[in-house]
Amino acid sequence: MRAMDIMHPEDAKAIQVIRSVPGCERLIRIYLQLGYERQLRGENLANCVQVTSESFPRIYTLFREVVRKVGIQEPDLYVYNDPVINGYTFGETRPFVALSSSLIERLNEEELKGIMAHECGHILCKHSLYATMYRTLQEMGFLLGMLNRALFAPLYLALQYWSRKSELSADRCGAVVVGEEVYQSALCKLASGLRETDTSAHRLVEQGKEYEAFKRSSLWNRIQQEYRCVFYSHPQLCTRALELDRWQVSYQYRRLRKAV
Amino acid sequence: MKEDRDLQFLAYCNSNDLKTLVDLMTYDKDGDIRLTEQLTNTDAYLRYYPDQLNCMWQEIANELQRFGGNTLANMWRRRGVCYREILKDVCRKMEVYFRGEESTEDLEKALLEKVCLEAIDKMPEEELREMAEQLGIGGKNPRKYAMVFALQLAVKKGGPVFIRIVAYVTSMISRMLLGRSLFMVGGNLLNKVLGVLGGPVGWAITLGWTAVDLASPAYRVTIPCVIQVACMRMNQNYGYNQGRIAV
Repeated sequence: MRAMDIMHPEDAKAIQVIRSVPGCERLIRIYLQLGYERQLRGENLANCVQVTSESFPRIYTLFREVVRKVGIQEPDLYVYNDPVINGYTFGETRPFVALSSSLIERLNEEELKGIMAHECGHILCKHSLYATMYRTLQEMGFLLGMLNRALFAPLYLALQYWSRKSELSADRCGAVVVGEEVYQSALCKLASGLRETDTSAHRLVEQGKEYEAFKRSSLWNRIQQEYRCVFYSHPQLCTRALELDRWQVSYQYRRLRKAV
Repeated sequence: MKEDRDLQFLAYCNSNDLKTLVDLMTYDKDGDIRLTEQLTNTDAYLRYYPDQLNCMWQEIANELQRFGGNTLANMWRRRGVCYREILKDVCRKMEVYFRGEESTEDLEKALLEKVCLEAIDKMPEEELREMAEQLGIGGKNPRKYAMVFALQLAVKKGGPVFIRIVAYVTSMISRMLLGRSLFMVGGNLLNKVLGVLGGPVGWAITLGWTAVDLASPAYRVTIPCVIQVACMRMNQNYGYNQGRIAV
């Protein structure tokens, strides 16, 4: 799989804009290599459990299969204790993937593979590089409070926008590996937090269509909803499901599904 | 989409030609997606690219019309400009002389003639020889000036050989643009932007016209696209389906 095969056009455009700032990419890379990545790696080793063939053989087998299908170098995998269904990836030179305990407990094997593929999609598209800038600004926010918002608000909001679009690319990667229905079912569990969801996975797509119609129904609705989204790092789950539904009819998706 | 009789023929074009047109509009010469394109995230593109592009000819035409118009004006009128206006703009930019009463086909023919003559004039001998060989022009081992003369004559004379030359040159242009070459058209915008960064005085003076230039028709896109559209129409009008030059 190549990054350009799965990249959402809006994600590609946003990255192009970030890249056009001279020296920006190089600066982040140095920053990552010197400190941030190592710091997080240390934290993972200290507080999470690394997934290996000995510690969690079932999860590790699934992960290796996903990594092979996505076609990236195998990153480290960790499990951390969190009741929130979540996962994240980070790192440029030695990337890692971390999955929450709740995610592993509530998703079935195929759905779990979908989420793993989603994280691997971030690595494939080299999102970590730009996500570093986003996270740094976020963390500076804890220290500087309003001053940070005032100084970097446009950059921060632009990165939030990119972050939302980058999730759509990673979702595509997940869908390619496990199929759109399984992936949508995982999104359904993420939305509901339940272990078993009786409703059809397509329900979230229908909800996405309803949401879009609601947004379009009046200018006021649109402004309100867009305003709420501006501060999100991820798109709404129904929007993600709907975007996948749009993409699954494409030639690119069908070609990639056949290839994996 | 603004109703445009000159672009309705796109509905009957083959997908390969339309794919070239769409790629010219959506990707730049480095293979990066164009920041201003609005086609790749449409439902039609996802559904029909790359095999059934004639099903989305209206979206393609709309995108071309949008690229041909001034961004600010497009926002105001919520659509682009007619193809004929874009064609006239391109002709002016390429210094093709016209009165304005000519039919679209004649204008396109004049543009293609100009493009072909310039291309032939600037082609290296190797390329010329390859082209002449493919077109069956010239005898054994002809000299460069003979090949140039023969090809220029064929362009001026028109007819089937001209159409084949057009197909060759157009495919060469799209290959260069989509194949990450250094072929540049309408590239003076970059110089103007660099001028803006020259200093505060230059910045103040040039800010106005740079803003207009940035919003004005995107020649980097419209020039190759109009050439492609003109070639596609010519192929269709002449029923040129046999002996098509492989791209």
